Amino acid sequence: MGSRALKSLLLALLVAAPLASAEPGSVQGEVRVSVIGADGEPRPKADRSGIVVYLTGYTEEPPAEVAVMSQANKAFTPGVLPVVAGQKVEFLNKDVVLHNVFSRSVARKFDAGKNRPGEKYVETFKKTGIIDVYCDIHEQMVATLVVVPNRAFAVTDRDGRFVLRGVPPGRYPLFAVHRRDEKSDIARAEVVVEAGRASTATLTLVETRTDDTHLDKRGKKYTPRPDYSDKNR
Amino acid sequence: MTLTQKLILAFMALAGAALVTALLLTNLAVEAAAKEKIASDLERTLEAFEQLARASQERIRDVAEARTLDRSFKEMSLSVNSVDAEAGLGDASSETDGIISAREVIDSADTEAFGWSREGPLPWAFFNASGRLVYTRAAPEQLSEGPVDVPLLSTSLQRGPTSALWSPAQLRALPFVFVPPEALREGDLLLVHAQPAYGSRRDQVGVVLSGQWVRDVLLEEPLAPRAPGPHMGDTRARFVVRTEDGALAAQLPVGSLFDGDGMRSGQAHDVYIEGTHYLARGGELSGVDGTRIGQVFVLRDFDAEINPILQRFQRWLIPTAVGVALLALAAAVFMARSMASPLVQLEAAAGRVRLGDLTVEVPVRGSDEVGRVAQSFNEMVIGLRQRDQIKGLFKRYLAPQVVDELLKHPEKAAPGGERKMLTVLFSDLVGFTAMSEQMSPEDLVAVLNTYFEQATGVLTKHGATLDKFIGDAIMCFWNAPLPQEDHAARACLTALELVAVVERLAPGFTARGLPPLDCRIGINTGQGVAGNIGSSAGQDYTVIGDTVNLASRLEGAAKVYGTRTLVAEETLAAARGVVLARELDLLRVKGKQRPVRVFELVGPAGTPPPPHLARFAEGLALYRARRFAEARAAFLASPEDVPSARFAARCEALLTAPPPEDWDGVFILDSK
Repeated sequence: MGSRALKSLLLALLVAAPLASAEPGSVQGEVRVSVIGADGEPRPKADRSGIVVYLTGYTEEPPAEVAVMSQANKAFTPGVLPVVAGQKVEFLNKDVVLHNVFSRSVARKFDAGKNRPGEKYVETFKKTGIIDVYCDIHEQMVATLVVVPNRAFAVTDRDGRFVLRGVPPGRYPLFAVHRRDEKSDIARAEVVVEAGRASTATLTLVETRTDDTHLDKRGKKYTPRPDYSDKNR
Repeated sequence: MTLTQKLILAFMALAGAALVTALLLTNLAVEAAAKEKIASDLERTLEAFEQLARASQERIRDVAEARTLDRSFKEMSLSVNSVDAEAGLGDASSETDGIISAREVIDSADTEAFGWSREGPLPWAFFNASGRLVYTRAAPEQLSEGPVDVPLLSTSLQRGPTSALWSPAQLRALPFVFVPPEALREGDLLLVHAQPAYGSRRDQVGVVLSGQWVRDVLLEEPLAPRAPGPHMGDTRARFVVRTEDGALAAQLPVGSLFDGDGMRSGQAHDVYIEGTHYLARGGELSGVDGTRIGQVFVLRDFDAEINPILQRFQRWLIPTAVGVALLALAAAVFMARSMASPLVQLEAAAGRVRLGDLTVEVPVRGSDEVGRVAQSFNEMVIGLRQRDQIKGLFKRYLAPQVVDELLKHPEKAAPGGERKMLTVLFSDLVGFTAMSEQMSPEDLVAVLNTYFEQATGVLTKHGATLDKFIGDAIMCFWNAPLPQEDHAARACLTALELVAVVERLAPGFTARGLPPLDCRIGINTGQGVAGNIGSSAGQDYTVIGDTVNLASRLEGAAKVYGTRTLVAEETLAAARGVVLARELDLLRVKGKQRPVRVFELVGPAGTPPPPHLARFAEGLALYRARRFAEARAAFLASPEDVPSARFAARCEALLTAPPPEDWDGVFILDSK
């Protein structure tokens, strides 16, 4: 190889370096969840789905699309929904009964009022944070919105696996939020993302508590209340 | 002042001193005991206070805990902690927003959970789990940017309910307003309770700080203070609470008494506050979690405590003391009398002795000093009596020095008589009977006294024991009662001097036309009995025996020979040549078988013998050889010598009536 060729290669590398840095990398990995058993010993949890994994350190524009969380069979679906700050979320009552959506979380407090079946309520979440979403009518209805600053987020599958794509190179804190009532289990790790490469990270969560109760939108305990189903109306 | 009085005074003084000492000592002991009791009371009071403090803190804790379980509180606390930050999703405003929304809940609440009270706002503040101020009742608008640096908060977050004592200075220095400045109480302390609050899943949501003033909680004045009566001091316990940095909340104006570490726990101290004596004891004040949050001191008015005790003590002490004093007085009188009475008796006895009564005897009681004095007194009286007896017995007969000697050695005058060698002298005045008829009795006595005076002087000089005066006669003896080795010589010399006395006196008599005064002296030496002889009414120290009789006979026999002295051979032999004597005759007196060789004293030894002595001796030898004619011639050669004349006459008679063949030259004297 001639020195000219070498020079041109070096030049190409020099020129390409900033370009290469702009090329995003990815993070893939696994979240390990252990449960404290009755004997006090931690053991791996079988179902590791529904854990939101994201990293922070930069912000991105929210996608224009509206995320949807529907209410069906007196439950929120999906139970865990990551959205990018500024993104709209549509709460759609697919059920046959009257529903409500409210949150008392610091990041966003809202109350959708009563939604009849088929009605929807759209809320924009501008601020990052973990937002507990409840139905004021049905105590068992629990969901979590995780408002993240960028699009590099994922929800784990049953095996706890996740892949974060389109991450600019850099060093970032990596989080895993496992939705729990009122207070989520949070795992944190550091990850270094290189251009065009897939970094690997493993996060470990310990699930210490079983699900607890929460209060209604007025901060009171749920009392048996009419279902407000269409049939009753 | 009599001895009795002195003794009573002394006893009373002793009893008084003992009583006062006992009183003082008892007072001291009572005081010490009371002090100890008060000190232990203090300890109990302190324990009670500590229990009260613990109980009230537990009550505060329970109330605080209950309030954190209040629904409104739970609602309020929901928003004060954001997990967003933990999850990396929070920003600067998210927690603040939560806090502001919590305040809205607090402001709109109608419960007492947030430090609101009918009596006015209580110091109340709430901090979230990171220690950031959520709300403080004193300044609802105050907002802290970050966690508040108050150690109590972190302690509470880490360990659970805890408490502290804050002084006004500390309150002012806090980074948040806990008590509004106008509500700060100088001289008081704030008992602060930090109660962690938990969410529904037992997760910490924050810490509630609530404060109560120590004076309100622990140092409440009793509702109706007992007015201290004139005799009843204020015995209530007073408390002083001190923080670790020395700030005080006190029920008394203690000043700087409790500054520093001078006051130790577990020990009672004397402190003086405004002239009142207090007994103080310190102890630890622990917080609700058992840690030390300060010190507590309990004080009690010592005088007020002890005075009732002393009064109670004195109430029975004074009658007792009076009783004891009276008893002591009685005992003192009795003892003084019983001690002084022997002395009084002694005094009386001594008075009687002074008056000559030697029969006194004081009773001897016991063997103490007084008893011994009485014993000695009795012995002294006995001694005096003996001395008196001796003197009475001998003073007439003996020279004073002999009497003294006897007094010193009374054993020498053996009572009951003793047989011993004696020399006895009889002296008689010749012609006294005739003289007495011619003189007035007064003159007679005067003459006799003159003679006896001088004769007694002679006797005394030669240590004679004067037996008696018998009319004009003198009887005396030697070697009794005290032994005198030269008794015979003394007798001979006495005889010579008595003769000299008579010769001195004789011219005076002759001059007054009185018959010539002359004397006859007989001396004998031999065994005799000397002793006190007589009845108990009157005794004489005298000598008896043949020796005495012979001496008397010799005195009478001197008349036969016409000599002034007639001395037995034994005497002369015993005199050992201190005198010059001439042998006169062999004489058998009446009632005696053995003839006695008798002599006339011529003069003291060394006297030149008169010439007729030799002629007389010659004549006497011829006379004994029955050569009476020659003897008579020899006797007649000394016409101036009376015995020679008598012997010449005797030779004359023998010549006319010659004696029988067995004549032994012994002259028999029939008359007395």
